[in-house]
Amino acid sequence: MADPMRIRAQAAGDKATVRVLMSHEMETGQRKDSAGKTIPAWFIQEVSAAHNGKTVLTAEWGPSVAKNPFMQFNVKGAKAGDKISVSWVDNKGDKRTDEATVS
Amino acid sequence: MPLHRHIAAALIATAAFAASAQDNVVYHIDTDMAQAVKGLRNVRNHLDVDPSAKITVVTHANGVDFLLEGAKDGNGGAFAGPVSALVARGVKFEVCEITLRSRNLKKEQFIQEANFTPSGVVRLAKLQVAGSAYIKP
Repeated sequence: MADPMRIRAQAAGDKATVRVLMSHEMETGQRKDSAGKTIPAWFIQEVSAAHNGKTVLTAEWGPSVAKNPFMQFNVKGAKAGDKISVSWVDNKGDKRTDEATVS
Repeated sequence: MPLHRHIAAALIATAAFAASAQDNVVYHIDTDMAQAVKGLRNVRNHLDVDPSAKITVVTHANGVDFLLEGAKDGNGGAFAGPVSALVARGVKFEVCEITLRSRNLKKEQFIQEANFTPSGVVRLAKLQVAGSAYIKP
């Protein structure tokens, strides 16, 4: 199981800014190790975010996203106390979901 | 033959040493921004020369300031970029929770890459007892 995501959600006006820091190797499949063997690809493929359980964002990612990805987005109508959850699935089928409360 | 046994023991010891080639190192930052700038440069150079080193940066007192959101060095350069670049290379940054209480800081004020430890000095002691090299920039 991968390390938890770090999520911060801050309300300002009629929207909340959500910042997510994911912990993932994001290996492209193009690199070789010191023995010359290809390091297998391992990256996040699907990302989604939900506001109080309702999906507000979905994204398809590929191997060109850097290690430990950072993602930021705004959610319209989110206010303090609301729940924001973020999920990802990688190409090995590993998945992770974490939740934060808007402050 | 005691001599042979000694040589064998020495060979085994060398093999064991070679197997644990990864160095554990702890950097201690507790003074100010200038020390943080120097420390980050040291850590970067350390990893350039020895990429396998497992580095932990323990901060307390005024040394936590460079991990605050929006922290800038003396020349106005942001700390967040260099810190997250080092995190991507496997460095762990830890902030003392006693410092949070005594200086009235909140965890939310720190950049997302920061980790927290109940006491900076205890962490320094534990890491050294566990075999980490200690460097104070």
